[in-house]
Amino acid sequence: MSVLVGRLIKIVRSAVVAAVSLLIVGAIVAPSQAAMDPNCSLNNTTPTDDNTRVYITSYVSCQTYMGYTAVEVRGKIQEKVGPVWTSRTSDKTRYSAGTTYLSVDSSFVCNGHGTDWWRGYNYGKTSDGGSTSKSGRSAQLTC
Amino acid sequence: MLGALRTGRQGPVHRNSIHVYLATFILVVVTGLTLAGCSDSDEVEPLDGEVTLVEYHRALERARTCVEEAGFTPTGIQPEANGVLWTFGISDLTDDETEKAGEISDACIDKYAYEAEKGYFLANVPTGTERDELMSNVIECLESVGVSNVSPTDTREEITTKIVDTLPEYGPGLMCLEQGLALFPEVLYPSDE
Repeated sequence: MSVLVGRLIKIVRSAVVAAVSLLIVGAIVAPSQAAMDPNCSLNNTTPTDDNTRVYITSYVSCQTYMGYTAVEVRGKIQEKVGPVWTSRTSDKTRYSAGTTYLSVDSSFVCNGHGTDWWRGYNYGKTSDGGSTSKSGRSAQLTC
Repeated sequence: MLGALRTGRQGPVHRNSIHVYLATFILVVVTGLTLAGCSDSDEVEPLDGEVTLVEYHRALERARTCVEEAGFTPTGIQPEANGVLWTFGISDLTDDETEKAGEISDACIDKYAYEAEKGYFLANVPTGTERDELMSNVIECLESVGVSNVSPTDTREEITTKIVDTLPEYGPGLMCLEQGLALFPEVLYPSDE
């Protein structure tokens, strides 16, 4: 009986060693993923229109200069065509050496598109090199 | 194999092989149980009545997990400037990954969070004096960035026209309008949807 218990202990020990090894290997092999610094957030305004063009603003907003700051923001406008989001503008980009608020405006002629869903798609980067991408809230607009 | 274990006749090399097999077996069982636990949490939570902030956040967390399980790294959920809705992004994407990540994120949010988000937003649309107060705040904000003559009865299109006609860089004006998103719920959730 004691022999069986001893072997079971060895088996469990082997399982633990294998699990720890897998975790270590996973940590080494996994690519480094870095989000924008938590001091900052990426957003865009909900699309709005003046019956001619659709407008959005993409922005990175940081709480303080004490942490990492915003160095890049990109934004583009997408329209839902059938089930697919289609980019209607290319990325507009703005850079900074480091600031707490960095924004870029985008617009697109929606006149003639009737009633459609629109949204912004954004990218932001902070001074630590971390980046985040995000699709904005979609809005149904009639142009 | 268990018979061999009971007899105790195998040599050291054989014993080690058995240990490896059993260790692998335990790992597989543990992993299977863990994944089975995950699949339980994948279920879309049924919503009954008014959606609370806790239920809304729980739904968003499920959508985040869905994005994570697809191999991407979602950020934490953060409040939007409209003061009602919350959102999350995806970290450190290459240009090649952007489109796929966007599709995954859309699908996960549609599946796990759309109904909760809609319910929570519509439950927080202000009426009466609360609506008047929110509209006043938006007008005050617009005036502070240089957009005047906005009336409380203006439509979203009319306010937008005044913003883009006044501000060459209209971002600050759109930010003010964003704070009043709940004034125009039909933009996000049209009644015929």
